[in-house]
Amino acid sequence: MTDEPIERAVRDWLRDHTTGDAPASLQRHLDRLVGAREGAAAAEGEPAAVAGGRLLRPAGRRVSVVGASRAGGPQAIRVIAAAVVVALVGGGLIYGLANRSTTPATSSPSPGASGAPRPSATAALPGPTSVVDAALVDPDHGWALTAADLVWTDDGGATWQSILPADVSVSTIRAVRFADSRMGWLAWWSEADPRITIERTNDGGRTWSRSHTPGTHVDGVGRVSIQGFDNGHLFVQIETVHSSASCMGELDASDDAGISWLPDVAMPLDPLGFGCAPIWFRDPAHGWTTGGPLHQALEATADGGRTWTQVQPRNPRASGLNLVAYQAPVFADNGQGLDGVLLTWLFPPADPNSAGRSGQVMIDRTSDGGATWRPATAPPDANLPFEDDVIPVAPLGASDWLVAGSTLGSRLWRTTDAGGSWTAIAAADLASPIASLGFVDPTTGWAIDLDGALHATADGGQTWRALSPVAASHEQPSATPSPAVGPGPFTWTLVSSEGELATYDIVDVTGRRDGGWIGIGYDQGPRTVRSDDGSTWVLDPAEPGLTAAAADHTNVVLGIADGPAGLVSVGASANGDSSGGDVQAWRSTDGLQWRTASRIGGDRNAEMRAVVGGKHGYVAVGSAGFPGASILESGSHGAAVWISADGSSWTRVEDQPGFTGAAMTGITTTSTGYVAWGENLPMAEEPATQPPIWTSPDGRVWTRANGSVFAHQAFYPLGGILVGAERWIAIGTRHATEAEGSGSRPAAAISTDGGRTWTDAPVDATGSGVGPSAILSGVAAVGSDLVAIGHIEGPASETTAAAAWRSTDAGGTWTRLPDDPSFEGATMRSILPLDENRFVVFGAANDLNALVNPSLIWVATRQP
Amino acid sequence: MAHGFDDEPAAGTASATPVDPAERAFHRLAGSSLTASFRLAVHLVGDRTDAEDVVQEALTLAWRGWPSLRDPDRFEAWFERIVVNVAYERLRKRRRTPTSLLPDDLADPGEDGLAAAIDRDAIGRALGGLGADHRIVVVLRYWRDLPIEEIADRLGVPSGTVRSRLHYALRELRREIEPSLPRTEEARP
Repeated sequence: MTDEPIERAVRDWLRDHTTGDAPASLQRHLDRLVGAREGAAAAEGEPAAVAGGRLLRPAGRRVSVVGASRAGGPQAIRVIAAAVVVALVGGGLIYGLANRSTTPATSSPSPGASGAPRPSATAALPGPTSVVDAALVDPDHGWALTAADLVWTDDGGATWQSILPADVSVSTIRAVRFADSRMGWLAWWSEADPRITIERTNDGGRTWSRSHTPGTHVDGVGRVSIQGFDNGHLFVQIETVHSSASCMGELDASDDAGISWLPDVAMPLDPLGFGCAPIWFRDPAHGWTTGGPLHQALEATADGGRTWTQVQPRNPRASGLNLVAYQAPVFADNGQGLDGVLLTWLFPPADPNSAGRSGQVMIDRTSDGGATWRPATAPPDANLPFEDDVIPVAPLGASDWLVAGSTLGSRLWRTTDAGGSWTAIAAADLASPIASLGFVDPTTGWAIDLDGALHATADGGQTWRALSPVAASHEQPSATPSPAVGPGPFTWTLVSSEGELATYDIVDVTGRRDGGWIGIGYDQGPRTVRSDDGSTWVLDPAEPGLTAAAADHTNVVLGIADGPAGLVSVGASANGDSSGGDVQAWRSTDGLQWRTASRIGGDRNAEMRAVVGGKHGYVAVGSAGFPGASILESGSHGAAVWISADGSSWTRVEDQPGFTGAAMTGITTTSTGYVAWGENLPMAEEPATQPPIWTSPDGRVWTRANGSVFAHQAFYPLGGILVGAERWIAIGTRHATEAEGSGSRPAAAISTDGGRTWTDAPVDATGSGVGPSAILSGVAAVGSDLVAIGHIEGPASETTAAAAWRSTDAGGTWTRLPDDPSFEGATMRSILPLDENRFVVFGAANDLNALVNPSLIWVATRQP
Repeated sequence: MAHGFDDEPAAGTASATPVDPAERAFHRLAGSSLTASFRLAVHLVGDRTDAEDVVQEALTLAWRGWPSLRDPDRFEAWFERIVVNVAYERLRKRRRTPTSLLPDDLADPGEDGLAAAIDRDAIGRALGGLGADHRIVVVLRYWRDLPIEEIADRLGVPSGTVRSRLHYALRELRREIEPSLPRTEEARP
């Protein structure tokens, strides 16, 4: 079977199974979000803060009662996950992504026309440095798991050091817990090993030992939570299967810190099929979890998870309501005391008319470790997220509790008389609402806000200071020295990431014959950018000559070059859905005004990807077929080449045997002609055996090269070829070997015979930061150095960091350059040498919430 | 039912006119994108309930990022990218949990040669068994008909990564679906 019927079948299936209209609840959410009702009410004179009878809280997290199946998704489960451990001091302030990204960082209501809160233009979106989880274990010691590292502090958060185990990728870490300042655990899982791996430390993270939980999870795992005690008692709860219909969990317990596992321990059997909510243990014997899709059951164990009993501290009908949803109880004294509080939602009947109605939050207290519960009074705050978010709560003592406020008004509520009276704490130094909260004593605690920022208080939550959990140095006693350590030979400066350039996507840059540089890329459409010094880049005015296209067509610009007849840009004109396109080229004498090429032979269903100016004209390379990336696109049929004397009239050279199974993506001149490079296409029946490198004396006749690891790679286009006097150097990306795991690795090859044959050159493939996979995108000679750039990415590619490599032996070996802080969350796409000591790199920030990834431009300068 | 700002509110909903022009624009644009986004989310996460959560979360993120969107004409693509990324995170957390895709709203599949010979249920099962990375590129490519480069931009990953994922997704689908195909000789009339 070829791909075609599969593609068609999938298309048909998706089309035939397209669901109906959006549910009305989404429209209601939008209404609430924008403040339609509240806005209208405010306009009529009602105070904004109480418009509509309920404060506007543009949040998305909820435990809803709209229909029986409504709250069964992972979201509701994760909501409870946050609550369960919210005050587990010494445990962690679980702060999953599901929580942090749901509530806009509105401050107080803006006095606008509608009175509704405005989205903050300056609110920080969660980034790679966002804190995922963190906890104090005592007033001085604590840890934080960020997207980039696992770090430890010995001074209450003033300074940090990395405690990430040497061969563990931070992106695989599912849970972290420390019982005290020395004993701790982390759990990680990756596709390469179907088991949950437990790393344990007895020296505050300086060294780690490894074990595995009993089960295997070839289909992946969901959330993992750890409970650990300083006597070595350890609980690991693993969410194994999750769908809207059911959720299953596995509970493992150990009394020797995770070396061996106890029998007969299990999650409670939930008749409703929901048995994966996190567990919380006050001590090695007593624990709680919730059950049911709405968390309407509270289950307790007194024998370390061997047997479970359903408890019912709260009768909803006594309050005139009939649905209950529990948060798990939390306890004072490092989460292990007898005094605790239990937050419970009570909801009205689950009929359709109740949709959107608020529930009530109730607080119960215990002074006997949860054996008995007594009602207390909840904060008098209409802002509390009654029907949505988990409410972070921290018992500071028997009668002293902190409850997080909502998105509006006070950040915290505090009572010192067990709910007899509540005092609002504005906590103005918290820019965003609190997502998680934990205290080690009545005054000292940490909080994570909805933007993923970590804060500390030393006065019981009255004032907060921001912490920056970034390691000063990556201290790994037994680790291979990371390439991302210490000063490098270059200093990196971000020269522009603001203004129009912030959303401009630079595709290609070339040096101008009359000095300076010009680039081509996209703003709202194709647009050029220029620089006189390589440091300052300015967008040219939008030029109709570049953007004008036939009806329902869009111009695609992919390459730019200067040559004997002026500037030439190449690309294609694509139809509306980009399913087809024809070659297009533009020429200009000044870079400001552009004209479409007058004639292009063989332009139908093809694209030019790159162009170079030679002595007598131009050579453009690309692919036959559009889009010319891959046969998966039903586009490319092979490489294609065009030549032109004036950049206006183009002739397509004849197809040649070496063009089959590949596309060309780059070209440069050599002393004897041209060298082009590209990518091998994934030809299932005839795998590539030659690298995607071609040489030509005249642009008309091309010879395919032989040798090197690139001969057997598909999907990854070569990053570039550097042509030197004695040798040529090609850099690119290869698939990781089986022994290396999944993903891709940097690769390089050398030719000493004018590009005809290639030999692999070793490249430092050491992973650091977000992950081991690497993509190399460009190479340049900078003085006596060769510099290659690209990025590394985590296993799921959702996290990236820019990366650079250097060769000081003409490409014979490559070592990774130290990371610069600006590399985090970025990618590098192309490199341009400015002089012997400087080069400029074009890249982008990998902002998943932006329409286009914001452009970044670095200038790197050699250290004196 | 989703409705735009200019439409009459659906019965039982309390949609009204935001006063602020910027809010009004967001309300209108987001409202008109709800159904398309919901349908996309259902295909991405394979579950109406989860899809509702995804779109709800995406709405909140979009509302938050609304001031940064310079060109409202690009709202749809912008919002769709947010939906995709929220769905991605959800799927990534869920990992490769098998999901039954859309038991409801079944349409009558048309006959289409070899594609029709493929067991439709097998396709649903195979799609539901794909990992997050693979399922998203399949849906964006074959349901949304987005080109590779645009998928790469939506996901914030290199286009080579998208091509690789698509290739392996198709291979996985082929492996899952092929056993359900009638043998060649059996398929002959």
